[in-house]
Amino acid sequence: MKRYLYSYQTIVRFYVQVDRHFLKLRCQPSASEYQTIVDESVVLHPVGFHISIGTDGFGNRIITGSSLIPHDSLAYISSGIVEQTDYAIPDPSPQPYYRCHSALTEPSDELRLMAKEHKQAADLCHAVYEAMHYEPGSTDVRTTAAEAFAQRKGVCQDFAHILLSLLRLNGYAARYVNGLIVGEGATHAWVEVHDGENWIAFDPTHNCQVTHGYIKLAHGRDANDCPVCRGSMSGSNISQQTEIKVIVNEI
Amino acid sequence: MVRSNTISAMKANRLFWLGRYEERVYMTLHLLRQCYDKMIDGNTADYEEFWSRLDCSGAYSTPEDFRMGMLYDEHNPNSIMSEMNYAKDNAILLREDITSETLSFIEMSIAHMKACKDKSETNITALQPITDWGLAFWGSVFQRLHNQKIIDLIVIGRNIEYIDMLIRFDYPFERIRHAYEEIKSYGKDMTRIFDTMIEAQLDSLFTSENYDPLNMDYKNKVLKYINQLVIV
Amino acid sequence: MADVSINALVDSRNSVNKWMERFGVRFGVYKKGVFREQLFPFDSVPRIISKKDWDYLEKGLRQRVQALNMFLWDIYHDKKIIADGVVPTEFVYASKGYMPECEGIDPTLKVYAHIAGIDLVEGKNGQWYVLEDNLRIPSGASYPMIARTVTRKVTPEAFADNAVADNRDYADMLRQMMEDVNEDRGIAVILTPGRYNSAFFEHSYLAEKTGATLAYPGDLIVEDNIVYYEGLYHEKQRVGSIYRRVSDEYMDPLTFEPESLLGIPGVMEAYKAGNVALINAIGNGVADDKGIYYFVPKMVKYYLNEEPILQNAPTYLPYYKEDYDYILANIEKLVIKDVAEAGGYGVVFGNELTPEKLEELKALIISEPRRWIAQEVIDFKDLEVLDSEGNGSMRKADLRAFVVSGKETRVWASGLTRYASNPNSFVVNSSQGGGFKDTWVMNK
Repeated sequence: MKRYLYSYQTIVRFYVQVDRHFLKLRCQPSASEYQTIVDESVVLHPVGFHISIGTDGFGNRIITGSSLIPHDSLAYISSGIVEQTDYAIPDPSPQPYYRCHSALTEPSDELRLMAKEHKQAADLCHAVYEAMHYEPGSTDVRTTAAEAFAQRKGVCQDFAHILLSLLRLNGYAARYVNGLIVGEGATHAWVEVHDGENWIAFDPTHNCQVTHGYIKLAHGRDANDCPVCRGSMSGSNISQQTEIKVIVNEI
Repeated sequence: MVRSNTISAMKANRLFWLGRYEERVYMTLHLLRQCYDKMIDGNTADYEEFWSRLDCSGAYSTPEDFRMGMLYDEHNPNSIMSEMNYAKDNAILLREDITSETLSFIEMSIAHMKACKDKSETNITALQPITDWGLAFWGSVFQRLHNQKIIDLIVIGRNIEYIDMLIRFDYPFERIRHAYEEIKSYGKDMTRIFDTMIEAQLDSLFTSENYDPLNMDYKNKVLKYINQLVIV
Repeated sequence: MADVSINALVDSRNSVNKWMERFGVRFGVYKKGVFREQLFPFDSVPRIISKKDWDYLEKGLRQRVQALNMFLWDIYHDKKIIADGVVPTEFVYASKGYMPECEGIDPTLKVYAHIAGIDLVEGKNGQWYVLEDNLRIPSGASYPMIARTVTRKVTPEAFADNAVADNRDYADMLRQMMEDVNEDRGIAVILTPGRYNSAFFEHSYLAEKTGATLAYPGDLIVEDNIVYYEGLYHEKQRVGSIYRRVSDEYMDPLTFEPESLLGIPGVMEAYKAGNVALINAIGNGVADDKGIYYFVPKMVKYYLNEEPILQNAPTYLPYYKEDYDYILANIEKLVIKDVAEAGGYGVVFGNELTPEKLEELKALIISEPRRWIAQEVIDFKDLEVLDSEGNGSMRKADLRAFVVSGKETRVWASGLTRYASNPNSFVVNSSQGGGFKDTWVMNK
């Protein structure tokens, strides 16, 4: 049993006033057998956003908000304490769609070839780590597994998509996870695979099976399904500057 | 089913401009008839001044080009064809508010204009149906529509355009006074439809003592204000 | 028909088209990236469906749409049909139309396909076949609606003996259905992507005829999971039902395509909370996939415990070994359809391909069996079309029947009969030329 203090903070500054601003946030830790929420809070600026809470189709916790009042910044902070045991989330019948390829994990011929060389999740994770070079800025949020693999470089999101593609080619139910890891930085992405009883986790960026210290926020078929923040606002060519700070420490 | 009388900002804008363009078609045709009449046996100076008031001086080099161009030239925003098209661009987005019947007069006008263009018809009597259907359009607006806000917005647009044309062509003040009163009366239920600063300016400029369309400063000022009066 | 001479029909053809122009009856097409509106040519010789045939079709259509609605509920809830092995897992979950975001959402009255457009053809032997189920945003009902309004004016004598079912009740059917699912929550709106959508005429015409408010992107906002229509001065009117003509992936930029400007940010949460009805439901694409089509007769048996009344065109799925062998052996006489494509572009006739192209197609089927279906070519009963001089020629034609489901499932006694642009074409999709006819359902 381990306890972690986490804080996820975002500030978005718009260069022009925006109004008709709509938001969907997945910035709170998920609750499961792996992870219990001891205490938490979310603070959102500007005050005056109409807020509703709920869950999305994948079971993630969401906060939706809308504001029709002009403003030039958006800021929120999600913080609290979670308690973790070993990373295993029981699920007797995983949704069948986690076995099917999704838009960002559609395999290429070279991924199909690679999927034939290894069968076990840990081996596939290792193979992705070996094949790929971590290089920030080499891909963007729309890059598919096939594209990132073709250039053999990417960031944690791409590593996760490639591993998902390989796992699904081997018949596994596997899902993409968005979350935070111990230390200071940004969000991280890893993969959960169903072992027949439980969802267990692998992090291809760090070449390891995850035991604890990974604060899970949300999951989906790929990154499209579970971003931390999605927004929509009026106005064209709104330029913005986003600053994200993450701090996680074991207590 | 609960029906809505609410009009969105986009719709209000389109209704306003539909009224303006319908009126512009009618007035342009009316004024062109006078201009073409002068061109029959008048001096060049008589009708060139007319062109300039329609912002078309320099656009056409010969009287023949002017005749064709003012009717059918889709690159000339002041041609009857262009104004009809603008009216239609607004109207087809308003079918459920103005009814298919009201819209049909615009559709028929466009089809007729195209047929006349194909025949290079420069005899303006051939365009009489455009005037007739224009009047039928207004008949349909007043007789067939039930949502008063819709009628208000179209009629306000019509009168703004009417005043704009009257000023350009130095019409007597009585005409303007009447149209301006109509704008006020159709706008009385819409608290925020007028820019109150501009309204105050126009109230003082539109008096029989101050009306002076031959003074270019005055003319430019009221033309600017009348086009900024309505907020949609 | 005996009373109506050919001359009267030719005369009425031109006169009816003139009336349609007057009412702005058009559809838009994109050619080489440029949007153009064109008139939808109307042929005045009606397709006539006997009372006997219609009684059969009506029963069959109601049954089919009921089963499809039950399938959609099942797929997004208990998934019994998959657990029972009637439909293979991957045909559902690998389909582009399946939306996991809709898992567990309960649409009002459990209706998913409020408006279904079922495409049928009549074979030379008099047997009707279903070619396609359209459960997302089927279009086309407005054309026969307005055509009948006009033809009754232009050739009243043709309708004088009261034998033709009056089809001018479609707007009433729609309005009733919108009321059924609205449950007095607010106003009814029709959401259009705007005038550059190919079916914009239909959106505006249906709004006029039903009395619903036509909403454009940006007119609707969501606050506290409630949808509002926003007025000029930001006054808000609550919306109870949205007949949306915007496709699933553009409906909510917070849930689907993030760059979409056509949708309503946050509408999925309002929908999920049961605060607004979406017509049609989101996620219906999973049931009108060309691959799922094969299983529809099995759904009828599974959910209703009835024999399917309507027949599919004989269809083979390369997914099954037996069908796979049959397709590869008989490819030159089959129609091959790409499951993922729509709009009549992904349809290939084996007999039109060179031997090299046939081999290429075979290789594609071998590498991706799930992507294809194959069908026997149906010997259509052709319909006569008159040109402006009154000369007749025969064309392929289909019939899109409209089925409207609210508290009850009703079949519209009419439909859109489309015909191919030239005598040799099998493709009747209006985006590839061609025109339409009135469809006369006989009362006696």
